[in-house]
Amino acid sequence: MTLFRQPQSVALSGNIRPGDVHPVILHEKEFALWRGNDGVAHLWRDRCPHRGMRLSFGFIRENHLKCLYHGWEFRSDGSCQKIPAHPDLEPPTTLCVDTLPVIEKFGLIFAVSDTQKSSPSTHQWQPVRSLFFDFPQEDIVSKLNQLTAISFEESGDIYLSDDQMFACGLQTRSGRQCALHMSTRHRSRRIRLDTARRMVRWRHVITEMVK
Amino acid sequence: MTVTSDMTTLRQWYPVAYPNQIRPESTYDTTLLDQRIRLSRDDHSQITAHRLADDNSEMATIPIVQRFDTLFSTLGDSPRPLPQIAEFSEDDRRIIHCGSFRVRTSPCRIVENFLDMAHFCFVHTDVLGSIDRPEVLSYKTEYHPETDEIWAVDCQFFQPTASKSAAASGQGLMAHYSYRILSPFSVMLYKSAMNFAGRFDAICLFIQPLSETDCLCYMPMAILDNVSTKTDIIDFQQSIFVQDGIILENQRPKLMPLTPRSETPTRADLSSIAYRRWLKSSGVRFGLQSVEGS
Repeated sequence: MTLFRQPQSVALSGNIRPGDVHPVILHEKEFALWRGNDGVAHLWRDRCPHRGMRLSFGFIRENHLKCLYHGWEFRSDGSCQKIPAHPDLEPPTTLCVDTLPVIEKFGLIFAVSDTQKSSPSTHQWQPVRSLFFDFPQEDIVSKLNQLTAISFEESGDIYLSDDQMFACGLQTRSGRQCALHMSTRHRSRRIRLDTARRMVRWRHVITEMVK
Repeated sequence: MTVTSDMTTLRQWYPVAYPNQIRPESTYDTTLLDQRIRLSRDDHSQITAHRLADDNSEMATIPIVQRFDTLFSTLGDSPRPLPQIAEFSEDDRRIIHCGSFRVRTSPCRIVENFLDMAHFCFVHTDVLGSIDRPEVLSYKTEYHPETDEIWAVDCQFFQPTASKSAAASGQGLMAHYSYRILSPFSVMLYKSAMNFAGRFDAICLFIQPLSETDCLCYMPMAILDNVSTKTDIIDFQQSIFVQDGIILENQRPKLMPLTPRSETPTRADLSSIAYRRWLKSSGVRFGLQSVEGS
């Protein structure tokens, strides 16, 4: 399943812990973002192939996701391993959730069109926060640069601050909604919290600028 | 919204209220298949029903009948008759309804959930199913041409707390079920009654589609239980329904898809497969994803 030309940042790595599953919207489509207990993140279409139940309501068992409705269990590659109603039945190999490849770098999770290698440095990066806006993402970083002492430069699919200590990723949720995810490799908890607090103000000011 | 042009859907009776929702000399406005309607009770306790125009004025009269302690109406000519359910006339049964539940999804999804046993242990854990006994044993479906109904028979499922009366016994049991699909958007089940060997509780689900993806569900029951209070019985049914509501409003798409491979069934879904096939052959389009849209 390929949907985007540009890689899309869907969440902050540190906010999706092993055993978590979250709903994510990308280009008006619903996805379930989850992390197995092996630490690997997955982005699946938010729909069980059986009866359409949203998989973001499911639960993680080891490195599998189980649907809430009937407990159908899916392996990390999206294939169905088990149908509890029929313990002796081997699920057909065609029974599979639609999946999107993801990579993690700079403390961000990206949906990509094909699998690339993750940056090994991801664990040094910590989540600051995500902001959600009710307008398209054009120019959102240039607006951010007008507001802050930090200046972000585009670097491939991410934006890095001058001092390389902050990173931002963008997410198109729909034609009218976007999100910005910011991470940092500052070790100081105080800097992270201060920045997260200031981001809430930026969100307000940027929303006013767009009006 | 305009009223559907789906003639099969128009030619059905639908629940529109419980009698006690309309007080003497008052009115009750609601919506049926995107058509706003008004029920009125006069000072002789007679109930009438009308279509409403955009300005709220009353237009043509529509029929209203009371059955199963529920008021039914229709927007179509010569509707399919309401079903015969003998249990509602048996003297030793209690006729109880559990309020109407709003569920924002297609009526087809609601019927299918009602027919489904495989979700008991995941959605109604420790009540209608036990997580360590999820197996759905083989059952049969039948078509009854004389009533144009689909039945699912010989259904059984292990239940820790099958009903309000079974809860008192404190042990699980193998509950026996039969299901009847009574019309495109109504269905009922017969379930082995605790302490009444060989007899079955009759539990109905009649759906009032406000629109294609917004419904009110009515659940009149004719049950055998001389122990539980009415409040206990209603609480039990409502707690079950609340759990189903979470599932139903989070199925995607809301309109049920009928195209092959859009949803993959398994053996436990035999009744769902029969229901979907019957909807298609009956010409129902309401509540279903259009083929072009899939």
